[in-house]
Amino acid sequence: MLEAGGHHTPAANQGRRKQMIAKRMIPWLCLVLLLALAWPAAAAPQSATQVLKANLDKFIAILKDPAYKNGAKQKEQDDKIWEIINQVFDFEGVARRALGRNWRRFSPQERKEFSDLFAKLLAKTYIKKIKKGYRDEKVVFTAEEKLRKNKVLVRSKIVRRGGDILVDYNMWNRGQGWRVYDVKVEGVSLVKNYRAQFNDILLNHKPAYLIQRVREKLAEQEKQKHKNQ
Amino acid sequence: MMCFRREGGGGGRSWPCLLVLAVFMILAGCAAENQNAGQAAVPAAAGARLAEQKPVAKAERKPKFVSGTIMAAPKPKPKAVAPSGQAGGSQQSLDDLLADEEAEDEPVVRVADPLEPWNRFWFVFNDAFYRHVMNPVARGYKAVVPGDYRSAVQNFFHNLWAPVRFLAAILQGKIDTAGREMARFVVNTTMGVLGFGDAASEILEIERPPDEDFGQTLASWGIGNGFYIVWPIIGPSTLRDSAGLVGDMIASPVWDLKPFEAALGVRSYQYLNDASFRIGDYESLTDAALDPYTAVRNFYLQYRAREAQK
Repeated sequence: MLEAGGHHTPAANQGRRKQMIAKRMIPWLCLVLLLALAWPAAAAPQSATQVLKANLDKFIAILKDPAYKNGAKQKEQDDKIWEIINQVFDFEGVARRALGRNWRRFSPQERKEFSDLFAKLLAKTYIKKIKKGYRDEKVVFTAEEKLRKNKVLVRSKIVRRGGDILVDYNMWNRGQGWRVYDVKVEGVSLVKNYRAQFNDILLNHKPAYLIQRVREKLAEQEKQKHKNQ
Repeated sequence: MMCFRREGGGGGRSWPCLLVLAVFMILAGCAAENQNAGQAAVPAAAGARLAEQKPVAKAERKPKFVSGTIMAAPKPKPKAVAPSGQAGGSQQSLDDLLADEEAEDEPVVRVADPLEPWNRFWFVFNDAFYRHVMNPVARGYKAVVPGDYRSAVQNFFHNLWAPVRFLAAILQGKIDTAGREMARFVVNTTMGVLGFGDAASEILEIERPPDEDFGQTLASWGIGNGFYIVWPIIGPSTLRDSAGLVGDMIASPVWDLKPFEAALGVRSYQYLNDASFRIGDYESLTDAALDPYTAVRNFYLQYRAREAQK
């Protein structure tokens, strides 16, 4: 910072110091500004398809992991899978939609009980099926359609011999990231299928009876699992 | 870089600057990767499929308008009975999201079931027949016959039924579909060697249109389902679809075989071969159900409603 013919008066010195400080600040300010611009991009929210795909990949990785071949490790594998499923499926939303208008007949405690049991039933049944039947089928995500402000439809297909299976996922984002609230297999909605069953049962019975049925079904699944093991 | 010019401050003070710079570059790199990965993966596929999916999306929207007019006013939002301690914010938005769905939802396909006792009886029978007869035989068949052969047989039968699908498409006014069925039939019977090979898709890229049948034809003419009925072995159907099955039988070349047992044998073999690809599907549906009968009924009705739309 030596200027030709520098003036070293105190006033000039002070002015020069201020200038130096200011000059030192500029690069920092620029960097902070650039960081501020880059930050939102870096934290750009993933699309619904990306969220689904990431979780599906994790799920398949755990499924194929040879470390869990051992029978004793099955529980650990199931727990890990349950974690992933719980993250990407909005079971509370699924349970509410499956009950539809009947939701109002349930007391708050019954609602919680039902949601929990129903979530467990769905997860256990389908995880069991997939574990038994998975043969390295590929899942291809074909499209993502925006339905409304916070809702999308993710289309995919499971490629297998004898015909592909089309699977559509309805996903929404209510502050917890993109989560699935309905699955349609070959156009048949899972939620509607359960709603038809629950409607029939609740026509002639109280909510507590339905909860009991779900609990019984869950117990049946557990018994079968232990029989097969 | 600007900060490197600041030699006056001394080399010792440039490291925080470098650190910030490094962090920035890492973030920028991650951002670029996220965007690239996201943009490459989804639009590449989406772009290719968007053209196909648009007509489907349009068809999906039609029922929404229908149910919108039936339910004149949106349902009053249920009072949010949030259990104590739950964030009021997320509960509120769940109610909103669900109110949307209720207003837009296609009504659960409701078909009368006046013959329920008969239906439930045959449902139990068919379920047992499937689990104890059909399934074991299909598994055995699958174990013995290689997949390629079974695929070829599947192609053969699918090709054989082309005239029936062609007729159904014509009766519904779906000229494009009819044209494709005709073209595929000609190509597959000749180039595909009697239909065993799907030359039309693989070589000439004439894609398979959605299957049409007489039941769908009747639906397109505005004839309602009637009521639900379960037939022995054949399985779930409705009054209209049963008439459709009869119509298909009359139009089909297979059922012209004499003696009748031969026709039955051929049709049964086709059923077995198809079943060998779908082992486990029926169980997936019924094992997870609280009431398998209702689950199968609802599945059938949703499935047929969807097919009719295609």
